[in-house]
Amino acid sequence: MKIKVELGQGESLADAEELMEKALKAKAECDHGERYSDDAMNEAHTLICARFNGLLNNLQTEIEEILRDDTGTKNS
Amino acid sequence: MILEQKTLSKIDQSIDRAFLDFMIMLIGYDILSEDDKQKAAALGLVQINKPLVEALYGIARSRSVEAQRRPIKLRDLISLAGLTTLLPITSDTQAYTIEHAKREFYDTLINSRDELKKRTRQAALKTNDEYHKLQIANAPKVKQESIIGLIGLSAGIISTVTANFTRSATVALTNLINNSAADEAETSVMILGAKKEEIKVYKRVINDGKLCGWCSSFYTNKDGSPKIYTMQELAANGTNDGRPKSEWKPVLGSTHPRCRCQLHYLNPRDSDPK
Repeated sequence: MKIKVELGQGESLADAEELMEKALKAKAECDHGERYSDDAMNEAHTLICARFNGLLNNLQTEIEEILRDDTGTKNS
Repeated sequence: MILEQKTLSKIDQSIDRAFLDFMIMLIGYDILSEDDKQKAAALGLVQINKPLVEALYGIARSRSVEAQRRPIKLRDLISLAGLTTLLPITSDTQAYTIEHAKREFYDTLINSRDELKKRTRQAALKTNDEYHKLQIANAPKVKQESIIGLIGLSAGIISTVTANFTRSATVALTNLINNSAADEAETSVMILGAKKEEIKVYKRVINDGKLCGWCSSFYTNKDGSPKIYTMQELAANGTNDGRPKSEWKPVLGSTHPRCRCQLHYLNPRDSDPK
């Protein structure tokens, strides 16, 4: 199968590849119930994912600080 | 170039520290690679509490008979997990389940860490490119603030890394929960004097409109009641990891990515589940 892709302004081939990969993955995986039958295990799942989200959010702040310090940008 | 190698190295170190801290909380220090152990030691990261995975193992075992479950909050279960001792089981089986769970979560976190570093570097290269073009075009004073807006952890990077982590972590957690139930079944049923090959299990699916066809046909009867298997049958099917969908089978662990079908064993004294 061939797929023709037209890039929008400012879009790169890497962007298109990422979008296609995401679309194909979504198609390939099952939709499934979002819960375990045991609420305690649902809490465990939420706990682990929430802590991971917290890790990323804290990293975002830390990385922006590094960038501001190293590029000499002051907070406005 | 606006973003130099020393800046990117600092960002990599921040990512390493954050992930190592999370790994030690979730899976413990001992399972880390030698390289990660050295990095953790250099950063002064230490193990304070029992890794969360070990507590969850004990909790999942204690929750594996559906008929005996009572509503209770996870935080209370975690407190109890520290106070109660597990039922006796061959230490090899218990160690294997916990070790396997730790390795699955470790692999998931290594992949997330590497993905984050890769995407951040890609964004940095793009940023340097954009800055270079702006300089060449003699644009009005280039505000470095706007350059920083191009990088950092953009919402796109965060959502992609989170989605990939969630998918893999769900597999690891479902495997942990179901393997824990299988361990508990082996211990409890053997204590009752039954034979290992007679242990009966089933999986509880959540039929909320998103239940997939595979799990529905594998684990439920036409009337919606769970299909009963012997534990041996499901164990013999191994894992679906790496198999094409056409070869998927009912298994003890996670049937597919994002599967949350939960294994329970049937206490010989209980009637069949509805």
